[in-house]
Formats: sequence, C-alpha cells, structure tokens
Amino acid sequence: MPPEATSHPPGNLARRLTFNHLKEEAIRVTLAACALLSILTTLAIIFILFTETVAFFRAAEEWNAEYNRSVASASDESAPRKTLPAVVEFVTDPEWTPEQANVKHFGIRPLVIGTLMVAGIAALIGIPIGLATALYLSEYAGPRVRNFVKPTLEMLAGVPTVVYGYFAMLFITPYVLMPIFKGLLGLDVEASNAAAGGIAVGIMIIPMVSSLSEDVLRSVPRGLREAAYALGATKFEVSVRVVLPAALSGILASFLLAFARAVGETMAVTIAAGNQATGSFNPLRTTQTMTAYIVAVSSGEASSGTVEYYSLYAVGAALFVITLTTNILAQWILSRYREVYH
Amino acid sequence: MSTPPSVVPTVPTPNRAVSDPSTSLMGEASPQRMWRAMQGKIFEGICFSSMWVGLLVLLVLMVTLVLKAQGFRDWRSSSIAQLGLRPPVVDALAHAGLKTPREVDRYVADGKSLTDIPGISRSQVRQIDRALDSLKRNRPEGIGLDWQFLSSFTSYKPDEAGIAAGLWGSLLLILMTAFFAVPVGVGAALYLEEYAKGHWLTRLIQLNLTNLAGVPSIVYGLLGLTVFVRMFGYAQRPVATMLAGALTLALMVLPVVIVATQEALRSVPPSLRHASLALGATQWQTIWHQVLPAAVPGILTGVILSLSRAIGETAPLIVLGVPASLRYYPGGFERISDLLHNPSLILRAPGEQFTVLPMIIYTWVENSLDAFKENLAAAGILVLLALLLLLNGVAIYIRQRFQKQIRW
Repeated sequence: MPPEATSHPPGNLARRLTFNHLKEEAIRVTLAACALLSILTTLAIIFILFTETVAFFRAAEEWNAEYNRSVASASDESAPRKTLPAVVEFVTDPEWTPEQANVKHFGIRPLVIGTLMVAGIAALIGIPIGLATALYLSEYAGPRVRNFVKPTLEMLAGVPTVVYGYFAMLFITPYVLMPIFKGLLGLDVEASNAAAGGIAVGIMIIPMVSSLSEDVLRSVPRGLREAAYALGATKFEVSVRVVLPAALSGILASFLLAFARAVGETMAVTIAAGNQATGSFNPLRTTQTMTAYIVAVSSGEASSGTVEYYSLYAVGAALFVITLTTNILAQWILSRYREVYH
Repeated sequence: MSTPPSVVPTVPTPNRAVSDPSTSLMGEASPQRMWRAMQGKIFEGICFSSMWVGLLVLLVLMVTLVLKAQGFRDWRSSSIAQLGLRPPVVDALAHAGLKTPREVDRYVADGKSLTDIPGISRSQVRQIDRALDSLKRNRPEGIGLDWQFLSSFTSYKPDEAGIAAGLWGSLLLILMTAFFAVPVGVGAALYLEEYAKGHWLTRLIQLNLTNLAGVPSIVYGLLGLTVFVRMFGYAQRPVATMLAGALTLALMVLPVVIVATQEALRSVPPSLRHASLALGATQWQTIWHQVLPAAVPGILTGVILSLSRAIGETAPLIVLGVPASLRYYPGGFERISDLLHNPSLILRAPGEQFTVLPMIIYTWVENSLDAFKENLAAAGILVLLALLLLLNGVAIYIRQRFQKQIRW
C-alpha cells in the first residue's frame, strides 16, 4: 500500500477550513435575541407605565399642594381643599378633570364606569349571540352552512374599528336607538352615547366569542354526547344539558377574553360614546372610556412633564392592569379545562 | 316444480314510539313530550338566527357605506322636499315642472326669476335661495369616490378633499412595518420551534406572547410614544416619524406573526428535517434550505393577515401624534411627478411625518360638516375596505396556490 494513502485522504474528502460552527452559533444567538425581544417588550411596557404613573402621582401631589396654597392665599373659605394623598384620590374621587385649568380632580372612577358600561353592554350583546352561533355551528350545522358562515364571521372580525365607530354613529344611533328609545319610550338619547358604542363593540366581539367557544365545544369528547343520546336525550338536551356544562369553564374563558378585548377597544367607543367623563350609569348618555380619554389627550396639546401628560400613563396603566388580569385569568381557566379533557 | 313459498320475513313496521318524541312509549301523545320537542326547535331556531346576525350587520354596513358614499351625487336629483320648504311652495314649484333641487338651480342659472312662477312670492324666493345655498354648502357636488378623491390631499373644503397622502402613507407604513416585523418574528419563531423547544424559557416566552397579543393597541401607542418618539425623536421637537410609527406597529403585530410562523413551522413534517440532517447539513442549513421554503406559504398568510389588521389601526398612531391633515406625500413631495424625477425622495420618508388612511377617516368622522362626517368618511372607508379585501385576497390566493405544491 503506498504510504500516502494512509496519511493524505483523496482531495475531495479532505476537510476544508470552514467557519460553519461559528456561523451557526452567531445565527443561533441572533435568533435567540429575536425571541427575547418579546420579553423585552413586556418589560418595557411595564416599566414605562409604572415609572410614568409614579411621575403622575408626584405631579398630582404637587398640583394639589399648589392649589391648596393658592386657595389659602386667596383666603377663600368655601373653596374645597385637596386633603387626600393623590393615590387615594385616584381611586376615591368621583370626578376626573385633569385638563381643567382651575380645579383638577384626579379620580379615575368616571372613566372606569364608562369603560365598564361600554364593555358590559358589549358583553350583553356579543356573548349570547356568539355563544348561540358557536352552539349552532358545532352541534347542528352541516359543512355547507359552516363553510359559508365562518368566512362571514372572519370578515366581520377583519373590519377596522374606525368603521364600527362610523357605523355606530351613523346607523345605530339614528336608526336603531332613536326610534326605539326616543320614539317609543320618549327617553332622551344623546348623539353620542354609551349604548351605541356598546352595541358596536358587541358586534365586534361576536366572531371572537363564536370561534373560541366553538373550539371549546368541539373539544368535548364525542363519547359524552353519544352516551347522552343512548340514554334517550333529545338534541337540545344533549347540547344544553350535557355539552354546554362540560365545556363551561372553557366557554367562561372565552367570555373573559372577549370582555378584555371589549375593554381595550378604542376607536369605536371614541367616536360613538363621546368625550365627556360623566361617569353616568345611563347608557343613553355620553360617557368617556379610559381608551377614549387617552385618545382625547393625545389629540390635544399636552406638553410633556405636565400632569395632563402623565395622566395618559396613569390611565394606560389602569387599562393595562385590567386587561392583563382578565387575560391571565382566562388563560389559567383554559389551561385547567384542557387538563380535564386531554 | 312449484316454487317454494317465499320465506323472506316481512320487515316489521318501525315502532312509532321510538322515533317520534311526542308520543310516550305507551303510544299516547303527551304534552310533556311535545314540549320537549318544541324546546329543541325553539333553541335551534334561536341559534340559527344568531348565526346570521353577523352577515346581516355586514350587509347593512355595506349598504349604508355605499349609499352614503354615493348619496350626495344624487341629492340634486332627489326630491325637492330636501329643501325643507312648505308644501304650498313645493306644490307651486312642482306645477312649474321643477321637481328636484337641480332643476330649480338650473332654472335660476338660466336667468329666469322664480317670482315668475305663480304662487311664489319674493320672500319665498329668498327662502328657496337660502335653502339651496345651505344644501350646496353642506353637500357640495363633485365629492365622491372618484379619481380626484384618490389623488388630492385633505382640505377644509369638502369638494377638494381627498385621501392621497393617507393612502400612500398607509401603504408605505405597512411595507416598513413588514420590513421590521417579518425578520424578527420569523427569527423568534424559528428559535422557539427549532432551537429551544421544550426549554422552560420557551414556555415563558410563549406565555408572554399570548399576553402581549391581548394588550390593547393603545398601550403599544404609549410604548411607542415614550420609546420611539420621545427618546429617539429629534432634539427640539419630538415628532412622530414614519420610523417610529413602523416600529410601534411592528411591535404590535409581532406576537401574531410569531404564533402564525410557529404554526407554519409545526406543519412541516419532522422527517424532512431528519433527512436533511442525516445528509450532513447543519441545523441552519436545514432550516434555510428545507424547512423555511416549506413553511413559507403559512408564514406569508399569517404575515399578510396580521398586516391587514395593522392597516386599520388608528389608536396607537393617534397616541404617537400622527397628524391627519398633511398636504404632501410621504417623503415630502407634493406631486407624483416630483417622485418620478427624483426617486430618492422616498428615502426621506422614514424620518418625516406621515399620515394614514384610517387617521384621515377618523378626523373626518369627528368633523362637524355632514359632507365630511357622512359622505367623505364613507368614501374613505370604502377605499380602506377595498385595500383590506385586496390584502386578504392575496393571502387566500397564496394559501390556495401553494397548498397544492407541497408534496411530502
């Protein structure tokens, strides 16, 4: 055997000097960085909201102190003093007027009431219709009906929210609410009211409730249904007394997710529900939600560093906390539901 | 030989009691059974009708939009009752053959005087003039979904207003958003699916993504305002540049892109990866040459769907401070011909202010003039919906076309 054969392999099998492993590692690090960006985003949101909210409370305290001083120097006995610390005032004061020049109130209650009113009406409309749709699609509908209805629901979900706002203001208020409430019942309906916003957002969440509930209903094991049929139940009894209770926690989770979406909805309610933080429980009156307030202040002229500017973040933080807890609760319920059936 | 008698047993008649729920097993009809049957029908009816609510709303929405976007073209041809005149005046005009505002207008324009018509006094002529004027001011002619609408900028005059800046701003913004969101999103999904599957950090990131997807879009606007506009903005005056807008929207769209890409990657069978690795390819070579090309249709579909959501988003952009009434195309030029002479102008766009179509629509809806609030906004919405339809159509086309090409 020639000595070269053992020490020098033929040319095309020789290892060339490549940097493959370095390239692979560099690519891996880059991709990991991309993945970590999402965590960075969450941390950034939490950090920014938190620090700016702290700045808000500080600015509010300063403003309160300034106000008390000016009231004291004017020796006006009747003007109300601001006695509570800003944090307490935030949750207890029934008025929200950080943009007013003379007396600013920093109680977020009217905004929260507005948001809950609109989201509540939306839930009242979207959840029953969505659930009924899901029940029909999963229990009764044949493939042809399903292939027709599901795309329409997807189209409904794809409509931008500005369009829903337009629809609410130009169709729901004049042609649905006015005839019913003003015409028949004689109640006063304002041009922008919580009910119109609620109805629009309710229609918006129908596809969400429907698709999530349908997934949940379909994942109920067939054996359960067949056992019920075998015992002589009618289709209605199987759907309502067997499948629905079995899927209840999953459906509850889908309701929560839809509610969180309704709370976070901005454009439709800004257009339809108005910009006055009345905090009223009458759905036919104007109200302002937390999201509408953020839009209103952003469209205005708030220079940075003022208490109006920081109030943006305080309201945003409250909004974030509400939606985050609702979403986490819904995810937890869903994970427990999946444990039971899979 | 005689045929043997048939021994085929007769089929027993089905027991009515079993199939008909309204009779009890004894064979008698019982109201309770009938109620049970009725319950089922009512329930099915309720569910069936709720299913069509969505379609009904879509139809009503489209009809309203089309009517409003076109309506003003016809006010001049529709009934003269719009002028709000009293019935005797309307009758007198009708007798003279003037049944629409357009005809009255033409009559006056021809130089004839309305006092010539029997039954119309001088003060009524003034009334008619005033009514015509206010109708013209409120709903001027010439507005509609036409070329002028698509190529002019916003204006306080309804007949000159258009969506040119917003349309091109939206398109450019979406391109820039995709430019940022797609590489990062696909990269992150690749890492989560191919490199770090099952790791505890991966589960944490997954949970994080689900929560991020549920955050209201306006919070992303606050994030963008703080990070992109104020920190990276220009020294004197923080301004909402196109770059800031694109980065904000990219962050908003990122969770959806990542999840869609993950789904697409999961649908690629593992045997493909195993075969590639067995032939000696490195992990990245496997991904780049085998897995990604196979997953591209799913990725593209997910990307296009998330971008179509981003096109309609106004809330984060309002918080950023995007204006609505810009009178130039993104990049600062005023006519398309400027761009053709000097294509590099478009490169200035990321650093400049911009506006988007939904923003213009929102501003018009909040305007007090009916022409803006109802008609122009409807026309703008129709353009936006057409854009969305186009995007979704492309996504569906890609999905259909490439589904067939993949053969495992």
